[in-house]
Amino acid sequence: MFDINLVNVENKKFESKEAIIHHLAEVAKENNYIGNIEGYYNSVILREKQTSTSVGHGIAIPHGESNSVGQTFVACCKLNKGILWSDYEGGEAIVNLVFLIGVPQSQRSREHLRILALLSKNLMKEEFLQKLSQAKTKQELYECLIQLKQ
Amino acid sequence: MNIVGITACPTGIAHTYMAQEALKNAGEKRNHNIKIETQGAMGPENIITKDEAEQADVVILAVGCAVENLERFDGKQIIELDVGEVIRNPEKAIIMAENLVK
Repeated sequence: MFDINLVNVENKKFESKEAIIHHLAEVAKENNYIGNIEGYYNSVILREKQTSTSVGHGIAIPHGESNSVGQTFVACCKLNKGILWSDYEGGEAIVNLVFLIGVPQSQRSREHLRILALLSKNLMKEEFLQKLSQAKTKQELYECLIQLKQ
Repeated sequence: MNIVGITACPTGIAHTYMAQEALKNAGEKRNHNIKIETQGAMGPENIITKDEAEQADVVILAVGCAVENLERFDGKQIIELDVGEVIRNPEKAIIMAENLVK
């Protein structure tokens, strides 16, 4: 579920959180994790409207579950130009690291859910946050993911 | 102080576990005994037993959806918070718990 083709460091400026979510969904589609982008994209935006997925430290983890997702994936993008991540309750934060997560609606792998939980917990740990902030390249960012620790 | 709690969110794949970790770290930092149950996509885990519920001074519910088996906490002091807010500011939840039993 971690795939270096879904990891990137971007210099491009994205105008909104919707734009980066859509961009990462396209990358997931190009790599055959998603069938139909819109079905998945809508599930992510719906989730985003429930509560913002900006979680502090400049990180956001938009996620959605949809039948458009074939296999669980985590697309990860470091933004050299941060974006304003506004939530629907009026709050906002500058985000420069986005993890877009996709999970199939049925036939989920428990193992994948376990790894997502592990990623989530690590995002609350100083040590992991520091590694992420030090990662400057696609390869370094990918290594942070595959070296996740319990 | 003995703190127990439950975390849960609409999809149960990320925030549930972040809030658990955040509360655990913040609680331990302030020298409390803390155990947080997750009710996420993998079902209930790290389940709080009836005994542990009885021993608890405060119950923290960091939830964004319906949760199960709350009757364990009948008669207990309960703090209910938004799961996103707990992730951004876990220490606040712990301080609220401390203030409640003062």
